Amino acid sequence: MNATNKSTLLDKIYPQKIYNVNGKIIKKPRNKTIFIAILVLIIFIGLLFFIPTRNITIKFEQFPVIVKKMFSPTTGKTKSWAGWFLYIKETVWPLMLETINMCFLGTLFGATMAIPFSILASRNISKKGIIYQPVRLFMNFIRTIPTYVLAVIAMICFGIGLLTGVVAMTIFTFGLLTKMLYEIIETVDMGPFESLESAGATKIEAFRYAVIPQILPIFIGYFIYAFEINVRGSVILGYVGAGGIGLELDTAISEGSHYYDRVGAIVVVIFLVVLILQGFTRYARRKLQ
Amino acid sequence: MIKFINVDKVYPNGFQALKNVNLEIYDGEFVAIIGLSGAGKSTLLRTINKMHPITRGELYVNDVDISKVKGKELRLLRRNIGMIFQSFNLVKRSSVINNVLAGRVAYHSTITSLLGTFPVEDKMIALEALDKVGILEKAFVRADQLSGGQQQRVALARALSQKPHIILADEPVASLDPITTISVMNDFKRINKEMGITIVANMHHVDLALKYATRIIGIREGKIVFDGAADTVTEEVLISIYGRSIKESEKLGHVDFDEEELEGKGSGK
Repeated sequence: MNATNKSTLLDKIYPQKIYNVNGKIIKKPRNKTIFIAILVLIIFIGLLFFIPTRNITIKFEQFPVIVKKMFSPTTGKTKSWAGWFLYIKETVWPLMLETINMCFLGTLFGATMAIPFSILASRNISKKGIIYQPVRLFMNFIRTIPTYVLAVIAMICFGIGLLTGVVAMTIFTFGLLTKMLYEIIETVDMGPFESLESAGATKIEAFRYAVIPQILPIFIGYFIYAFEINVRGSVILGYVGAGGIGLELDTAISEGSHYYDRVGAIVVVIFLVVLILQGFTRYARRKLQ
Repeated sequence: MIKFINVDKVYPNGFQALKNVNLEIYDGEFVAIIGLSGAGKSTLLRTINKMHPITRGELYVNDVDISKVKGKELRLLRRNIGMIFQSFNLVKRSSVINNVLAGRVAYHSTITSLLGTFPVEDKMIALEALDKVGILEKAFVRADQLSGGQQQRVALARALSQKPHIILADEPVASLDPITTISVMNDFKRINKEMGITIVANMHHVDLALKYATRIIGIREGKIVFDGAADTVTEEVLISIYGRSIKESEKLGHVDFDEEELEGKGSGK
């Protein structure tokens, strides 16, 4: 093709590696990753200039002040450390349990809905573009709706309370898990599926026996992961009326109250719960290998 | 009986894999299909259970025109045809017995199958199939714990648990070592002889095909260029199939083994 071996500018800045094996020449192709990395870096630096810097007064000194308030019950609403712990025991913890309950139900419903939709959305199982393309489009739409908006819509329909949280989380989990699941389904070994079909099984039966055993451990891992995300997210949902711990946090932090010691208590409990969940996730994943 | 009448197979991308194939395979035969890779061996095999539908002609399996059946009727037909693959196609995370029970799925309604519980009779069929290929004691081991030869035996047991009349084998020993190859081929031969199951196998190793099969079908560029008894295959025949002499890599060659070692492998110890 290119008989003349003219050295281009590219050759000068980034020469190709050439190996001479017993008189035979073999060239290593240029690694394109480096070009993409440089391009991304340039775009990133360019974008930095778009961040407005004028009219911003940075008050970093406020950060430690608030953190200190969070853990100073004696000057706060709870009045003493005993009151602080009592607040955790009698208010935060029952609400946390409510929240966990809400998150679990939301994750469970969402994950259940994700199973049939991920099958329809996966290229290797549903095979026909006419099926998986619209399903993917629909799922993209679901994922585009911010969770906050989902919660507001659910609130309008179901009022303030745990049901609103469950509905919002179901839809969020459904969108998230469907995508994660169909991507996993597309990577499974289709050999067993073919052998099941060749033995006279229907597509659903072949999926049950050939694909599910391959994806089940990953699916359970994703389920726990989605649950964890939902527990974190429940705080934000509480703001729009999803009930549980988030609502209490909203009350504690809102204008007019600023009960930072209560905020501190709530944050500590959420942190502990997420920590326990993460430990559990890791344990479950290891067991499922 | 399997009967091809003027069968063509053209893939959606326009590639013609089979050209006017006429063929009759009788019950209880051990047929080896040989030819270069890409000649159409796999396609020919997969048209028999309609994993690849034919695009012209008629294809009868036990007097049913397979090109016309679909849905439940097709699945009942496939149930009678076991299939073995080069890469075993086991669910590696599942136990051996669950892999074998997959061969029983088509015997039950979808609802029962989806629950994943099998009647005791099915479990007995599966265990007997495992015993037949000599790895009964591996029944409750996970499939990925087994050696290649043992995995192929599990696949064979899965096919047997279908209670098939025909077993199609697509390069069944191509990813096995020479000694395991011979013991798995012996299993095929035994199943063919003792149970009278028709075996149609694609073979890469020519010498192996000639040794085990009673009939050889040579295929070249989608056409059948030879069809005859294994002992009538001459050097000229092979040249007509391959377009050249056989390379050493297309033969298994002489395998040095003692019967005891083979037996040991055979029972999966």
